[in-house]
Amino acid sequence: MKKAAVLCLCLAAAAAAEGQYRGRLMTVKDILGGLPQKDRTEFMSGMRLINGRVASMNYATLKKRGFSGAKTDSILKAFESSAADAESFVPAGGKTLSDMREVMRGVPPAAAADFLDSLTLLDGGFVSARTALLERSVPPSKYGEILKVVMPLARSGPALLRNASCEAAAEEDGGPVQRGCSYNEGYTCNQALCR
Amino acid sequence: MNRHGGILCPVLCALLAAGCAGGQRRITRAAACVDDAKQRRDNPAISACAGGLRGADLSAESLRGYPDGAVDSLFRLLRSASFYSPDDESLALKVRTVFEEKARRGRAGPEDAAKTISGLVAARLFSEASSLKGRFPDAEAVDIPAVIGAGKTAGQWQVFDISADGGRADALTLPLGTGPKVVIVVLPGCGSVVSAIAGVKRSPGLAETLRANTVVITRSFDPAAVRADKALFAPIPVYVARKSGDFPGFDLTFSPRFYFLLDGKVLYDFKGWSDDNGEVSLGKIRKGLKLIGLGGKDPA
Repeated sequence: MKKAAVLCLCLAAAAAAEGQYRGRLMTVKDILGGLPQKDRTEFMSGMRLINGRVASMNYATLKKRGFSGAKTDSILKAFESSAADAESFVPAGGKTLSDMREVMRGVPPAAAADFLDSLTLLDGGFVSARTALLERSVPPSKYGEILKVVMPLARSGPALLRNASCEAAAEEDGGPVQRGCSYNEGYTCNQALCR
Repeated sequence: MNRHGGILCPVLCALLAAGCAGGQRRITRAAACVDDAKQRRDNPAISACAGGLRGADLSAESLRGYPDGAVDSLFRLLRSASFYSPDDESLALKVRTVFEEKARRGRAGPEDAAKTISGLVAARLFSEASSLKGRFPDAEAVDIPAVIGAGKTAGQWQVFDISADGGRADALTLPLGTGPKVVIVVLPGCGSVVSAIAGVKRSPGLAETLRANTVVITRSFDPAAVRADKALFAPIPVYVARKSGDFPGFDLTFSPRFYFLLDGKVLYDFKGWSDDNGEVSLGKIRKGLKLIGLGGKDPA
C-alpha cells in the first residue's frame, strides 16, 4: 500500500514546473502549511533527492490527512523541477541520489523541523534555508553532509553563501520575477540555484 | 562584625542578587524580542531589542553571575543586533565582551569567535578583529589586510579599495557628487549578480556606457570575495563601503541593487535581476541611464 503511495518523478521526464509555481519562492512550511509539524517532517523525510532536486516523494502522509487529489497534486507540483532546470545544474560531485530520512538521521527533532520547514524552493531546487539551529545541533561533519545533499555546490561558479537568503519577487504588473540575495543572519543560500 | 555590617551585608547581597535576576529578566525579554522581530523580518527592530539591556547587565561582575544559558542567550541576541546594525561599533564591542565571558568559561567555540570577529570587521574595528583572530586561529574569518587606510571619520561615499593581493585596503572618497553615475550594490558571491553582469555584457551598448560611469559597492569586507568580484566586473571598479551610513539613502543589504545618480542625487533605482533572461532588468538600466542623461548609446 505504501509502495502505491510513492510517486516517482523521473527528472528527465518531469513535467515542467509551469504556471503557478514557476519563478516563485516558497518555503516548505508555506507549501505544507495545512499539515501539523510532525507530518511536515515526515513528508519531507520521505523525499529522495538527485543533485539537490526532488526526485521522488511519498504522499502517504497527505493521504492519511485526507487531502483531496487536487490538493495533493498541487503540493507535489510545488516540489517539481523542469527537466531543463535539472539539466542546467551540474554538481561538483557528480550525480547523487540521496534519501532525506537517511541524511537527517540523528538530527534532534526540533533542529530537523526548523531546518526542513525553512527550506526554500525555487523552480524545484532548494535555494536557501535557515541553518543556524541545525548548525548548533549537529557535529560539523554531519552539518556539511546535510548541506551537501540538500544544497549541492555547482561544479563552477557561485557556492553557498552564509548569512544570506535567496529572494524573489514578482513584478506588480505580472512581469517576470526579480531575483536577488539578501543579508539574513543564520541562513544559507545556494548561489548556484538562486540566480 | 559590627551592628551596621550585620545589616548591610545581607542587604547588599540581596541587592546584588536582585540586580543579577533583573539582568537575566532583561536578557530573556530582549532575546524574546529578537526572536519575534526575526519572525517578522523586521530588521531595525532586532537591533532595537538590545536597547532594553542596561550597561550594568554587561559588567564583568554581572556576566560572571549569569548561568551559562543566559550568557549564551545574551551572546546570540547581541550578535543578531550587531549583524543587522553593522555600523554600530558599540554593539560589536558588546558581542566581544560577552564572547570573552564565554571564553573564560571555556564555552567559546571557533564559530563563536568567527561571529565575533565578523561583527568587529563589519563595524570596521580592524585592530580589535585582528587581535581576536590571532588568539583564535581556528576561527573561520576573513583575512584582514596588514595596511588599512584611516580615511575620514565621517562623510559621504567613503570606501576601501582592496589591493589585488589583499594586503592593503586604501581609504578613499568616491566622486559620486558630480555628474551622472551608476552604483551597483552587490553581496559577494551572489548568483543573481553573476546573471546580471552576464546580461549587461550581452548588451554591448549598455556595457560600454556602464563601464565609464559605474562603480560597484559592497558592504562586505572580504578581500577574497572582493577579488572575485573585481574579476567578474572588470574593468568596472569594485569597492567596499566604509560604513552603510556613508551611503545615505542606499540599501546595502540587498544584491544586486542598481542606483542611478545625477550630481549625487538618486533619480532612479531598482533591485534584483529578472528571470526572463534579464530583459526587463536591462530595460530598467536603460531607463535609469536615460534619466541621468546617459541614454541613447544603446543600439537595442
